[in-house]
Amino acid sequence: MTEAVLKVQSVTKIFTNSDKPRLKVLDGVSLDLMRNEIVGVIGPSACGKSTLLDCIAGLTGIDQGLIKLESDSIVDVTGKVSYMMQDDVMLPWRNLRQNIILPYTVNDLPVPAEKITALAKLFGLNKFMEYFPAEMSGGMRQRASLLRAYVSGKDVLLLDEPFGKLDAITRYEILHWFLDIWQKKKLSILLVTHDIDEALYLSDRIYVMSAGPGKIISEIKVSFKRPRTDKFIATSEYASLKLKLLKLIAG
Amino acid sequence: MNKYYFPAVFFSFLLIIWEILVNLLRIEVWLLPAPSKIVLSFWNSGHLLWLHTGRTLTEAIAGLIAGTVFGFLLAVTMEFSQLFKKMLYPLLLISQTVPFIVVAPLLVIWFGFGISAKLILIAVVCFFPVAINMKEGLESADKNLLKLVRSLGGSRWKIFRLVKLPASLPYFFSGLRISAAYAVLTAVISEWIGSDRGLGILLIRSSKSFQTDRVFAIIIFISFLSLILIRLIDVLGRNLIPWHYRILDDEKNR
Repeated sequence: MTEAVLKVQSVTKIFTNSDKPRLKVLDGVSLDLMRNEIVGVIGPSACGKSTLLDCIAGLTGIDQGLIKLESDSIVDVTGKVSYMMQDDVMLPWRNLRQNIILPYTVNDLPVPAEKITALAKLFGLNKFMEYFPAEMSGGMRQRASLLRAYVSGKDVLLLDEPFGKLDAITRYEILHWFLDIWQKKKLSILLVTHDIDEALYLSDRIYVMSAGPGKIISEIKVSFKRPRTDKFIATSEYASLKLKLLKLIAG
Repeated sequence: MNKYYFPAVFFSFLLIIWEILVNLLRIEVWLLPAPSKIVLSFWNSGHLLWLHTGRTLTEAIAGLIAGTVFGFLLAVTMEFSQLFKKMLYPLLLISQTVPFIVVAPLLVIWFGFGISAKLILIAVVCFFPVAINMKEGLESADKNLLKLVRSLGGSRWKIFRLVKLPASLPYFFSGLRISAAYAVLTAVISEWIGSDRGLGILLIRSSKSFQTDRVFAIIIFISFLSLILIRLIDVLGRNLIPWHYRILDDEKNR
C-alpha cells in the first residue's frame, strides 16, 4: 500500500460571521489521496466541496482536524498545493504567457522558459502565448488555468469543477485531453465536481458528500482500467456505478 | 458617421444666428461681440495669450502632478492600514464640503502671492478625485484573482502589485481626468486672488477694460487647454492600461 500524499482527517469547518448565525460547513471530513491517483469528491451544490478545497489550499482555516501533505501540516499554509478554481481565473492585464508563469512571478523564482514552451505545446496553447484572456475562448482559458496549476510544480493538484462551465462538446474534448495529459504526467489530483459522469470518467476513487453540513457518506472504487477509452461508458458496470452514485447523492 | 457631426452642425448654426442677430440688433461690442469679432481678437491678442498661458499651464500641471501623487499615496496607505483608512476616510469626505476657493485667502497669508500658494491650492483640489477613485479601485479587485495569487503563496505586497494595483488603474485614470479639468480651472481662479501673470489675470484685466471679445477668446482658450490636458491623460491611459480599453472596446462592439 502506497503512502497517502494528502491526508485530510476529521476536518470540521464552521463559518462565523458576526451578523449571521454560526454555520457548520464541514463536519468531520476525512479523505486520502494516494500518489498518482485521481480522486473525485462529488455531492450536491453547496455541500461544502469548494470550502474543503479552500481549507486544503490554506486559504481559510479549519476548526478541528488535520490536513497533511506528506507529513507536514498545511493548515493555514498557502502555496503548498496547486489549486485550480471553479472559474477560469486569469489576470486580464497579463497575456497568456504571463498568466501561466504566475506561480514563478508570485514567488520570485526564475522562469524555466524552455519547459514552459514545451508544456504550452503539449497543452495546445503555444500559438496563443501573447494573447490576452479577453481574446481567448473559455476552453482555452480552462486549459491555460490547468497549465498554470501544473507549472507550479506541486505534488498535489486540486480541481474545483474544472470543466463545469464548458459546453458539452468542448467539455468532452477537454476531458479526453485531460486524461491524456494525466497519463503522461501522472499527477495526484483531488477533483471536486457535481457531475457524476465527469467523476466516473476521471477518478480512481470517488468520495460522496452530503449537504449541510458536508460529510463523507460513502467511498466508491472506480476500477475501469487505464488508459481509458470511451468504451467503458457503454458498459453495464458503468451504468450500475452511476445509478449507485445517483442514489447516494439523492440520499 | 462621426458622433461629432450633429453637435458640430448645430453649433455652427447657433454661431451663425448669433452673428446675424448681433449685427442686426447693433449690439455693442463690449456687451456681446459677434463670433467674427472673437476670432479676430484671437488673432490680435495671440502673443498675449501665449505669454500668459505658460504660467497658468505650469501651475495647473505642477499642481495636478503634486495632487495626483499625494492622492495616489494616500489611497495606497489606506489600503495597507485599516486604522488609517477608518480615521481618515470620513474626514476626507467631509473635507469636500469646504468650497476650496474660500481657503485661498488663508494660503495667501501663509505663502504669499507667489506660485507656491497656487500650487498648493491646485494640489488640494486635485488630490481628492484621484484618492477616492483609487481607493475604490483598490477595493474593487476581483475576489477570485485575490484568491488565486494568495493560493500560489503570494505575500500581501505581491497581491497588491499583481492584482490590486492593476485593477485600480482604470479607476485612477477616471479620477485623474476629473482632476485635470479641475486643475486648469483652479489655476485660473487662483490667479484672481493675486498674480502678476496668467490667463486668470489676463481675463480679469480684459473684463475690467471691457474688452469683451478678448474675454470670450480667453474663455474659449481655457476650455481648449482643459480639453487638451484631458485628452493627453486619455492617451496616457490607453498606453498604460491597454487591456482595459481592449475589454471596453470589445463591449462597445458587441
